[in-house]
Amino acid sequence: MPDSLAIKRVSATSSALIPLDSLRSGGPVYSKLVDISKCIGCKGCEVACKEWNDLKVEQTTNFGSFQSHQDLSSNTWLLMRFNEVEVGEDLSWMIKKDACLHCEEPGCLFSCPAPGAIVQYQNGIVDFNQDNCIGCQYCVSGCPFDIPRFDKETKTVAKCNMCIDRVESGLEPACVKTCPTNAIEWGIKDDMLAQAEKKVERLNERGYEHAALYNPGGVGGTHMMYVVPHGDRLEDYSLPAHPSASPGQLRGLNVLQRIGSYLLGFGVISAFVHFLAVGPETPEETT
Amino acid sequence: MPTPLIHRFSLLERLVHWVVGLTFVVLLGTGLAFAYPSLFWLTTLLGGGAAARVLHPQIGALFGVGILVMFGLWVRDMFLDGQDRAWLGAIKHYAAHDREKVPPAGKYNAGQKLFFWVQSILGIVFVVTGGMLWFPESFGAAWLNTARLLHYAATLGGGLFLIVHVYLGTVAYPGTARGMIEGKVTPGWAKLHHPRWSGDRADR
Amino acid sequence: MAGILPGYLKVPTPEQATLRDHLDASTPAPLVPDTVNYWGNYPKFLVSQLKAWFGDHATAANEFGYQYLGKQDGDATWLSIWDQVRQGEVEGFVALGFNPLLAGPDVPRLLESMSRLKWKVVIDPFMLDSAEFWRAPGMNPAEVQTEVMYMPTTHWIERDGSFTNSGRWAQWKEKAIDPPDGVRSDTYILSELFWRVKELYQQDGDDAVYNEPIQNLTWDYLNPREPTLVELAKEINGYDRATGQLLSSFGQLQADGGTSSGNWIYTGSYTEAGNVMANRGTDDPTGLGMHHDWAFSWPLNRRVLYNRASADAEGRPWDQGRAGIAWNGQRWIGDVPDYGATTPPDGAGAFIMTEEGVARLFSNHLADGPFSEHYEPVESPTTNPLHDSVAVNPVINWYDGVRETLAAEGDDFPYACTIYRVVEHEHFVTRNVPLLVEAMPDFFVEVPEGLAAEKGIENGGRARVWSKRGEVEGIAIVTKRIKPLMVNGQTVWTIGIPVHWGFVGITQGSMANLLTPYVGDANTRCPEFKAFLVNVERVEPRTT
Repeated sequence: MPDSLAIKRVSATSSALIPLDSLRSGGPVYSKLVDISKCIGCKGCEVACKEWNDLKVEQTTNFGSFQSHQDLSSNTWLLMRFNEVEVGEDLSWMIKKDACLHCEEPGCLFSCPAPGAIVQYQNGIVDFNQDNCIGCQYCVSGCPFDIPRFDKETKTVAKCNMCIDRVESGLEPACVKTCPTNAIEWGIKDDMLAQAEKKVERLNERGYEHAALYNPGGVGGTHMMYVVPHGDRLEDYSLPAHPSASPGQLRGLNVLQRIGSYLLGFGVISAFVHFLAVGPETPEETT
Repeated sequence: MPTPLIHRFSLLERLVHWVVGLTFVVLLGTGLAFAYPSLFWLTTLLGGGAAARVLHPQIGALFGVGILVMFGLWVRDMFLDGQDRAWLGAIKHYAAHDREKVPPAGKYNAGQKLFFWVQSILGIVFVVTGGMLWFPESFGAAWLNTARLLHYAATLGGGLFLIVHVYLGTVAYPGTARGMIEGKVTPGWAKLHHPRWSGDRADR
Repeated sequence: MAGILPGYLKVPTPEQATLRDHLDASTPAPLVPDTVNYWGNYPKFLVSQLKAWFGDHATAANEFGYQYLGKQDGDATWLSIWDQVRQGEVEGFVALGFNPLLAGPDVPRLLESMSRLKWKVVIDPFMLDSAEFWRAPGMNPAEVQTEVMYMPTTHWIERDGSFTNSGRWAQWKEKAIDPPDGVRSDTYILSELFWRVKELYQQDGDDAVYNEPIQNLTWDYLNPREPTLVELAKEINGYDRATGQLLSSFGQLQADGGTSSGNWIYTGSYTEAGNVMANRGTDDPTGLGMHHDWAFSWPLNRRVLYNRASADAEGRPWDQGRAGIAWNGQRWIGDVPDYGATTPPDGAGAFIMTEEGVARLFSNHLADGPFSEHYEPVESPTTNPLHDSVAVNPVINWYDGVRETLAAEGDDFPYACTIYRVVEHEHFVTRNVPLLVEAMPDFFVEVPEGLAAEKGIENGGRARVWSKRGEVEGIAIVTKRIKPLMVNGQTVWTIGIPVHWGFVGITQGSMANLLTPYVGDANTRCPEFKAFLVNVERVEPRTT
């Protein structure tokens, strides 16, 4: 297996708890960097995504926006979300590339009960393997960014796979390749972080005092990062300010499940011990 | 000459009990498979993960109906009275088979009555949260995650109850299972476990 | 383009009785010494073009076939052509690779004009509205007597060939997929047309009018029934007729018939060294994105026109950080200089195409010149603040009956309207591409927020927009992006409408040009698509 596809975590296996790169580290770690200030909203990335990944064309209807679809779907892994927002005196046409962020700590993978349905590679890509998917959709509620979508026909979930077949061949994802303004860049994550820092600085100089990098720590950072011109208005880009790979309920569930396995074992053993201690109580029959 | 037996459960009662019981066992098995990767192989018994995912809620629906019918059949007999409270106070003697110190029970002892109420509540939790998880598109992530937490908590309660229930109903108290299989118990069994109960008519 | 031959050469006029007359009228004399005055080479370009067209039949004795060329009297721009159709002066029309019905202004008027054609041929990869204009909304097919022939032809993706972008790069590309069965290339169709016309003329013999140019036209291809695009590219590039060698620069062109070239600005695009347009080198030594090894940029692979002007009198780049060209003492380095490579900085004026060698602040070639001036559109919500008695350009051409189609005093058309394209679509082609229709599915009307509130128009609802000429209806996009203008103290709202829709294709919608006025600018007669007056109202959602 090439280094580019060294595995980090597999859903519903021990590697979900102990990532494999703690044992054996793989090749380069990549990231996309989406500079929202450079996006012109042409949706070329949407089309390239569908072309490369052979996703079905969906019937769309204009709903009063330049946005093509109302929402992501199992056949639309990438959606440019358009939002006209007044920021002070100025108008900002916020156009956000909505697709999987490929979290370093992927909530979807942690939520998934099906072994091997979700795989995280050491290069940062989180990929769904539909062959192993059981269609429970726990990944959907486990994702802090509301990305995976259930396909009613195949009864499996789907999302952006970062064009993993291109990446393993040393190519950039299709959206990156097609972007006419280089608003989407691709490279080693550390380089992208350095690049982002420069971009934020430049935006600051241009008067975007709240410009920021979006690489949220709550999910361990992401492998699609954004440079956001209005970092103080994340909600207008529909980016959660504090996403978490394991929200309270799921942390609770996790703890309960661990306690539960002991409790159930304890129950069986108790019954056995009780039986040994006091034995059966057989009724006396009068005839 | 065989001992005359006492009618304890009607055919409908037994049928419903076993529907609830067997569905719960299957649900518990698949549910634990979804909760514990090491038990995922249990889904193989239903044809694999995807099939288990499809069947679990369908079987759950049957379980829900069973619980509901069961509630309707037995709720009248399940209210606790003064003697039941005394029984509860003496539960450790019951566990130790120290019968003289246990206040006499009616058709159901207080433990069984409480079991009934708890299982009814768990049934509601199972059905409501299970319904949400069956159709997750209709709910937000926070609701679903809460539902998962509650569904598992109910599983844990139900699983522990099942252990107690099966243990008491089989090896701990011989003769008990017969009541739920044949519908009849022996007079000695009735006298020992339910002294205040004189038996039901066969046609009930 | 109307009024010119390939390479910006001029169409002969009836007054130019001889080649000499035409060349004299078209070849400027330098106004100052030491000017390049490149148009001084006009005779070389025109004679080489005539040699490309008529070959050995173009000789000094017959003025290189000058008399074979049609002489143009009057205007042949878009609006004028269709006006002539309207007047019944034109019998037939061939549309090769474009969609005339949707491309011009005032569709209702255009439909009337089109119906007066006796025949019409539409050659295109896709079925077009123009080929089915008789069933356009509001038309009664029974009343249209025009015979329409539609010939499906190859799409560029089904052939090799070149694109020239607006940066003048001619980029060769390969064929990607096969055409569908039975679909022929446009070179096949045009060759068949040529050969059949030629045969008809042959049958008529010397009695045929205009026989000679048709019999003498060069058609020298390996398969004369379907020339390849490589053959055409070489013919356009040009040959030395004595040696048969491909030329590498239009500097080699001769006015004595020694060379041929279909279009002088492309000489050097296909040389003995190979197809320059197919070059795919990515080196960029200037760092300015010039990429001289990528494709061919006309003329002479020059990436920036007038690049001499990017350096000062001594030949030093004005901007040292972005040096387009620089004089190193012996020669110019950087871009391909539009100046002699070894002509010193003070050798000639920087503007090689003008007779005076310098840039122009005014031009005596403009109908409404020589200086720039501001005129309001013919339909304007306001008056001209500079000179309100002459608000509109006084020298535009008024076609018959057009004034009556403009909003007049007392009409209720209070809003400005403009039409445009969207990035998802390429004119009227991509409405046939499912992935792009998915990205931008429907015709829409963009209404500014304030106006929408006034009119009760809801985002995602429907709106109707009408001008004096026609009306459109579509989904309303209520937007903050189009701000009201304050003009002469009054608020002017602007409505925006995209052009990509018609009544053919997998997405269909109103034709934007139903609204636009049949008026062209005073010089090029480019239609006034971008500003006119309309009204707008809310439309209740369709119940289907």
